[in-house]
Amino acid sequence: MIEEKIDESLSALVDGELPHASAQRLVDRMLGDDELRGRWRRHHLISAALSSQHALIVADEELASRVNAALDAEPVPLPRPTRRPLSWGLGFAAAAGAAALAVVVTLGVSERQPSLSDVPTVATLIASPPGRGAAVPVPSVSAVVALNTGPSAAPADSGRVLTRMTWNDSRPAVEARLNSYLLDHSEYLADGVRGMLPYARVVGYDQRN
Amino acid sequence: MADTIPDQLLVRRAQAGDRRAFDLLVLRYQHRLAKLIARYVRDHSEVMDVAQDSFIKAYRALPNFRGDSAFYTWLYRIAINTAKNHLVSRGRRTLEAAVDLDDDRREFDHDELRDFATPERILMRDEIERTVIEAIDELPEDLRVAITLRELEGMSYEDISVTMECPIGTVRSRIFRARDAINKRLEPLID
Repeated sequence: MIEEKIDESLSALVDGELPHASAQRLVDRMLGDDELRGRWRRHHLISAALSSQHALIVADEELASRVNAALDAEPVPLPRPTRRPLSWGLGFAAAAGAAALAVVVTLGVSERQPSLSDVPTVATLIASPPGRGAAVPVPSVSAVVALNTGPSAAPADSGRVLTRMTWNDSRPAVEARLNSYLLDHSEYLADGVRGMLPYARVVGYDQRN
Repeated sequence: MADTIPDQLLVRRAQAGDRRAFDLLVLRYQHRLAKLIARYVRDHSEVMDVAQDSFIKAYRALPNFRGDSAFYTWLYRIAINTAKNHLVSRGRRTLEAAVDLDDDRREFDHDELRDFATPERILMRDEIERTVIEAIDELPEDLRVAITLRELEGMSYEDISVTMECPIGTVRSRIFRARDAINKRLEPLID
């Protein structure tokens, strides 16, 4: 009796005539029930057979299994991040955190200032207008950035140096693998603090398909 | 539109990474999509290839689907573009200048089908059709009218309840019982 009720609900779901809450429960159930999936499939097959004379029944399980097999090699699509408005308390905490970070960075740079004077950096050049003598590096975040662009900086440390590389390999297997890496990488990046650039390279590549 | 409720629920779950939800969307729209693609491509294996590509493209793009349009409308556009690109890649022109969203509901004529299907498929299709029509003919009249109004006329349960002068719950039950009877006849044929 309960089974029959579920089957009746499934028939109504196929027609989009089930109330939203019941539809939600039934969809959840159907996702883990092969028998219900089979009924869902046959109901749509019946519709296809009836919706036109000489119905074009070309697909059915064959197409579904082909799509499934092809998708097995696909990376899982990333769920869209849901944006929730920050509560007042959380917003205050985030602002306080950002302010504290700014203080720490500024203090850190100030302590390293003597060694900076020996290093010709982009920041010192910018900060020294012509005719005003040797520039004194300004203790700021830009000085730290410039330090990383100096010749002694290791490439791995140059977080602000954007490197453009091109990728010409268009083999599907390679693309699928690369996509998988990129998605994993993006997922890793997404774990970082919102609004902060994570200490990792931002990568991507042109996909012309 | 009530028809989109199952789509919305399945799309949301598929966007959250549930492949089974996308599989149910494929089962829901594969016939309609294949029929649409057959307006552009006549060869059966090519239709299947283009339909498969369309679903895979849709799956890849699913995180960007915001639900501004109905899922099928979105899928339809992907399929049309995929079919056109398929023809361009093979140096062929499209079979039809324009295809309307509801064109996949249009009936096929025999010539189109002859171009399109293999003898085995025509046999299978005819067998399914014959079984469904026989099963409908054997239904009691109230069930037959209810399923016909729903499937052939595309009427809502509410409209059917007005036409048949019965409560919506009765309409729902009749349609289910009709489908169940057809299902029992169809099951051994396709499983």
